[in-house]
Amino acid sequence: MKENESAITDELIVRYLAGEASPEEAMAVQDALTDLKFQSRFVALQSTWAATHPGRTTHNVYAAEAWQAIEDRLKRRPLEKVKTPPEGKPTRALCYSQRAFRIAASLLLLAVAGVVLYNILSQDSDEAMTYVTTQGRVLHVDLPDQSVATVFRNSKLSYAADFNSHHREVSLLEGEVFFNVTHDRKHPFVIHTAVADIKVIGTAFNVTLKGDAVEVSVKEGKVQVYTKNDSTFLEAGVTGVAQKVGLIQTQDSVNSNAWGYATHRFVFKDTPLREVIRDLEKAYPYTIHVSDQAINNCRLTATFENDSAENLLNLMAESLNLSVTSSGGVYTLEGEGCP
Amino acid sequence: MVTLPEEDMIRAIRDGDKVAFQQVFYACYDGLCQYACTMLKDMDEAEDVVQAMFVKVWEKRESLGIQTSMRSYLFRSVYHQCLNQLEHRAIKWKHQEQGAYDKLGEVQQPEVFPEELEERIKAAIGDLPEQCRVIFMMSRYEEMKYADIAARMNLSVNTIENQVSKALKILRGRLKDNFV
Repeated sequence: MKENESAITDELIVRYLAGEASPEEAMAVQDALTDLKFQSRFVALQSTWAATHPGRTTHNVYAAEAWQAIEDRLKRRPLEKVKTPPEGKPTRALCYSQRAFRIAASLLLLAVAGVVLYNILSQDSDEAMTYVTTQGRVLHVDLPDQSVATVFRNSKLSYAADFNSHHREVSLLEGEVFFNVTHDRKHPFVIHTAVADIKVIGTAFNVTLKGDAVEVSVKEGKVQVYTKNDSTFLEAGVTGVAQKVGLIQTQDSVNSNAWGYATHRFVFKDTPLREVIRDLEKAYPYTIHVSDQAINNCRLTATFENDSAENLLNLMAESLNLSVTSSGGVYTLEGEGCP
Repeated sequence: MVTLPEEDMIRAIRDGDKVAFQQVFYACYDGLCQYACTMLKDMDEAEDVVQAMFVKVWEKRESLGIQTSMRSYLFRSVYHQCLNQLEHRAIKWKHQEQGAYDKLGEVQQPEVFPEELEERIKAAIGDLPEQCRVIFMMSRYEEMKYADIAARMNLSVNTIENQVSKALKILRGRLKDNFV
C-alpha cells in the first residue's frame, strides 16, 4: 500500500521541518514527496520555515562525492562464513551470485519494502544433500529450477545436491514452507514429508508439518497429496490435512494471510483484530500488544501489500483511531478500542 | 514475486559486498542528510553524522541486527546519532554559558531575531498571537525541542506542536506573495 499523500498532515510536515519527526515519520514525509500535490504543500511550508531563519541555510548534497569521501574509510576484509555442519560431514557453503546481489541492490532503489529478517540461519550441504535450516528468521531459497521456497522460522528443508530442472524433489523435515513452483508438466515437483508426499506441476501453496499431520493450503493451481492410504487433489482455495492414519481431510477455504510471511500480502475483511494480530505476528518478528482488551473487539477491513510492520500498524491504527508505540520489537496498540 | 531484495541486500552487505553497500548509500544518502539536517539545523554537520554512521554500519556489518528494512535501520541510526549530537551540543553550551540555563524556568519571552532577518518577516512574526509567537520563536530561534518548550511553558507537547504549525501556516499566508 502506498503512502497516502493526504494521510500526512500539515502538523507532521511542520514537525519534520522543526526536527521533531521520528525516523518513521521522516521516511513517510520523504516518500510522499513523489506526489506532486504533496510536494507543493510541503514546499509552501518549507520555504516559509526557511525564510524565518535566513542564517540557517542548507545546501544540496551529492552522494557520489560523499561516497568518495568515505570510501577510504571502508576497509574491506574477507569474511569467514559461519557454518554448522549437519552430522559432522564436510560442508560447503552455498554461493549466491554477485549479480543477484546487484539486482537486489538496484531493486532496493526502487522500492524499499519492509522485509523482515532475524537472528541466524545456517545453510549447509554435504556431498549429497543441501540442508536449509532456519531459526528466528524467514529465508527465501532459490532452487535451481527457478522455483522458490520461502522457509518459515524454525523449519528445515533439504534437497539432493543434484536437484535440477529434471529432478525436482525436496524434503520438508520440520516446520513450514511456502512454495512457488515453476511450471513444468514433464517434471513434477515432489515434496516428501514423514506423513504424506505432495506432487505438483506448477503452483503456489503452503505446507505445514504439525506433529503427525501435514497441512497443505493452495494459493494457485493444483496439488496432489498422497499418503500410504489415500490420495487427493487440492485446488486453489482449498486446504487439506493428511495424517499418518486415516483419510485426507479437506475444506474449501484457506487463510491466505497465513502465508503472509512469504508474500507480504494481507487481506482483511471485517476481521477481528485478535486474528489480524495473530497473522501479523506470524509474518513479522514482532510482538503486538493491546493496551486494552476492547481493542481486540475492533474489526479491520484492509489490504496491505509489501508494507513494513511499522507502516502497516500505523495505517491500521489510524483507521481504527488507535495509536502505536514501540519499544524493543514490541508494538503496543493504544486507544479506546471498540464495544 | 517471492524474491526479497531486502534480504539478499542485507545478506550481501553482511558478506562484505561493497557494491551492494554503495547502492544503499546512493539510495539513502540524500534522504538521511535531509532528515539529519532538520534535527541539527546544519547540513555540514548532518553530512558528517550520516557519513560516520555509514562507516560504522560497514565496520559492524557482520553483526548487523536489522529487524526492519535497511532504510528504516539507517534512519533510526541517524536519528539516534543526531540525538547524541544535540545532547553533546547542550552540554557544551552549558559549559560556555554557565548560568544561562539556570534562568530557563522563568524566561517566557524569547527576544532575539537573527540579524539578517528582514523587517517584513519580523513584522509578520510580531503579529502572531502571543502564545503562538513565543512558542514559534523558541522552536525556531532557540532551537528547542517540542518537549523542552512544553516543559518550560507547562503545556502539553501536543499544544506546542499545534502552535508551531499554526504559526507557520499564518506566516505562510502573510508572506506567500513575497516568495515561492
